[in-house]
Amino acid sequence: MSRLARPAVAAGAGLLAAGLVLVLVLQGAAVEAAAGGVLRALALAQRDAQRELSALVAAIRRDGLFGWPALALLALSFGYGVLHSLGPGHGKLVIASYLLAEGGRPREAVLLAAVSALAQGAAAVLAVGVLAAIVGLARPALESGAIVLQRLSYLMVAGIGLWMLVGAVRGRDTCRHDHGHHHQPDHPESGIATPHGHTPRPGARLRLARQAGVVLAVGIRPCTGAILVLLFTLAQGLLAVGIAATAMMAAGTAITVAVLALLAVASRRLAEEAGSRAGVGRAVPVIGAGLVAAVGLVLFVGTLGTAGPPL
Amino acid sequence: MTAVLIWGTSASGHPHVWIEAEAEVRFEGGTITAIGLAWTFDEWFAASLLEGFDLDGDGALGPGEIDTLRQETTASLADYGFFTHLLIGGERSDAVAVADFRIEIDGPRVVYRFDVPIDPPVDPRATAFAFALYDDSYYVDVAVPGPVTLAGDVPGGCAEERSEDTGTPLYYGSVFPMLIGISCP
Repeated sequence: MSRLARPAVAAGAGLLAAGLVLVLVLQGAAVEAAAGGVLRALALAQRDAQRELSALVAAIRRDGLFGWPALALLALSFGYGVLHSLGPGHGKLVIASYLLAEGGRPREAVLLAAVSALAQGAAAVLAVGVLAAIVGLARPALESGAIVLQRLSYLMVAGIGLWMLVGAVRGRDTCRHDHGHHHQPDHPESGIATPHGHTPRPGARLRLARQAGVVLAVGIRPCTGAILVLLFTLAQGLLAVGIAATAMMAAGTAITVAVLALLAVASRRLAEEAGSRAGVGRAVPVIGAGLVAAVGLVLFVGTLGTAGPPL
Repeated sequence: MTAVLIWGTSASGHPHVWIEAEAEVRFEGGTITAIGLAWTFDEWFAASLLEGFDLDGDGALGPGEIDTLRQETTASLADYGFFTHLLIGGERSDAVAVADFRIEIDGPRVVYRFDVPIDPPVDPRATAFAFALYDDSYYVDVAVPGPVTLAGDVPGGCAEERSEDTGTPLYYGSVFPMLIGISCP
């Protein structure tokens, strides 16, 4: 840390500020200033889509599974997924901050977004299935269960951030020493020798483990829109239709989140370039990892002392 | 119960429940003594209630199940002021207790009816009286699409007057609740 010169601190602060701005944008605070009406319009569009989906489910119930209502339902579910994921949300915050910290190829980012969206859809199917099986469970138990899942998700995010932070700091420590000669793996957590003096890149397996952690952290909080459509179709005796709709919604969500993920890796690349121009490229992963840990902790603290649902 | 599942998966963000409310302001001797409210839920949330509280799994809510729903609902709504926020003589307060909470189920339709007592009663000719129906976490969107009914001994000329409650931004400031005032010139 003592080697961290003043420009490094300045560049670090700059990246942190950029990261915080991204977080604020994601949380919608910037949306408030820019276009307060957009969120409201999105909410109303979702409401309309919901009404339309209800009507289509009724039509399927009347006319059967094979026909235009089923096709329209699938198309509309896809649109609903896009709309539903455009607003602020924790899953997107987690994925964006992780990618901002880790960087990666665009293909990787898109894949992470898609798998996370599908995991949330699958989790919704699982949650409704479990709920149907344990009908009659006391509400306090469910309430604490939901909160525990939420907290677990955020703690996992904080854990991934800390893990990355340790890796990034250690990576820099090794770079502090003379490393002009050894080609042994000098980053024990990566198992891969990194080019000297460059930002240490974690090994592919390690990245995969972290990405799996992100998917799990996002996925254990199932998609609410999917749960609503599943419960609605379950009540109509058309759960299979609900599951198909959920898959389409997840696909729609994946598209929105993928765009965001691409933005995150592009921002990361810009920060890296700016950082290495300023000679402080090594500070970028440390600050990015700190951001992920902070996002997890802030979200976790936010769950403390929350009241139960109003209805 | 399923409501918990829906809520637990989304600590913030888009409204997940939509209520269309009807309101009746009741007068006695020229003063406002209560607001009668009827909430109609959107089909999805109604389905989740019907699904979640059908404890015996017979496909319908019997009197006992409705009673369980009523008890759980009133207990949790109490923490949210029953989404009924009052502005009387410039003072803000939330409904703390409601009377006569009833749940009506008609096929897929679920309606909650209850009264918010105004105690002490307010004479709107002397004291500014207004109320707004909203959930400050914006988990639930509450709309009052139709006109408010004024019932009982309404002083001549009293009418509802709506304005945006700009002091109460919801959902990152994209929504402001509708403040419904009773003005008697």
